[in-house]
Amino acid sequence: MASKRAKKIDYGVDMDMTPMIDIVFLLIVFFMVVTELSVQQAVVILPVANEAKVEEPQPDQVILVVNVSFNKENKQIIQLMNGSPLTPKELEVALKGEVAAHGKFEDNPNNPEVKLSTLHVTIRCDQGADAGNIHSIFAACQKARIYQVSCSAINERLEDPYADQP
Amino acid sequence: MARRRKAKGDPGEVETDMTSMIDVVFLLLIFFMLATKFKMPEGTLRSYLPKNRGESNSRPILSETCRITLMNQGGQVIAWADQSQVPLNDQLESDYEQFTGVAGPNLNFIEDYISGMKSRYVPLDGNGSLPVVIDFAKEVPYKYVIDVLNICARQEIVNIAFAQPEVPLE
Repeated sequence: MASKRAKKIDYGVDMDMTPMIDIVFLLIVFFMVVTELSVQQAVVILPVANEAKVEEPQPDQVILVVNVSFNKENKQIIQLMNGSPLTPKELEVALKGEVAAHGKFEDNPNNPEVKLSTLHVTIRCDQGADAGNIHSIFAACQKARIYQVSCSAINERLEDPYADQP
Repeated sequence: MARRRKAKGDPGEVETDMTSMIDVVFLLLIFFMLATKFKMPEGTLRSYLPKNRGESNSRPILSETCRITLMNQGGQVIAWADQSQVPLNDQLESDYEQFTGVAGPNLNFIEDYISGMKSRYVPLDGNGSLPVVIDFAKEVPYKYVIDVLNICARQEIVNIAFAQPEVPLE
């Protein structure tokens, strides 16, 4: 018996995929950029302080970030931005270099002969790290003539930061 | 001029099969969505270091101060508010305490103490803020220093000093 071939009816309905592909590509670009940003800073479990203020940096403000974190051997390390681990003395030298490179100073009302740097240092210290690191960083800042120092904290914790740790 | 419509199945027409590209794009999208970890916005507690150098202990104390001392005794943080020892928490309050399994000092006690001192404080010059000195041993976890700083910020205390070994300036 000869099979009767069904006649294909063309209703002329096409799905335009272009907007969907546009949006999907935009989403991919967004997630790629966000992922890149989130790994740029050292992994530091910041303490919680609900009085910490989230401030937008001023256009002419230069902020140096000093990270105090734990390395893979669970040893505390101090880093300027995401550089190599520094001793307090090396941090002082590095800060002095940054101050010289920045080259912007303001008058010191207490001592007119010594100008103060306009650089700003933000300390991102792990909540479990020794508070003695703060002494070292403050001393290094003071020797580098940096007097504007902030301590980073988050306003609230949404997830357990130690969930991954044994 | 009349537009000539291309007939379907015209051998000159080139069609691209988008299916495989869309598959890959969706896989990439799912990967990045899963790999992305959003960061919490970070705030800061601002401070200004002495513009000259820290005040020496040898300088006579001209006004009443509130001294919060934090010490570490074998992994246990002990706090003192002036001469009063701060009791320990009955339970593990923060994620850090839960991680270490060691209860810390009762922060409410410190806050009540500072608040009481602030209400009783009479500045010598008439408009000063209660000076608070935070004296911490170097082995104390940073979290507790920030907790005390946070309490000071909540109590609107701006005159805060860290007791620190004197470092000679070059």
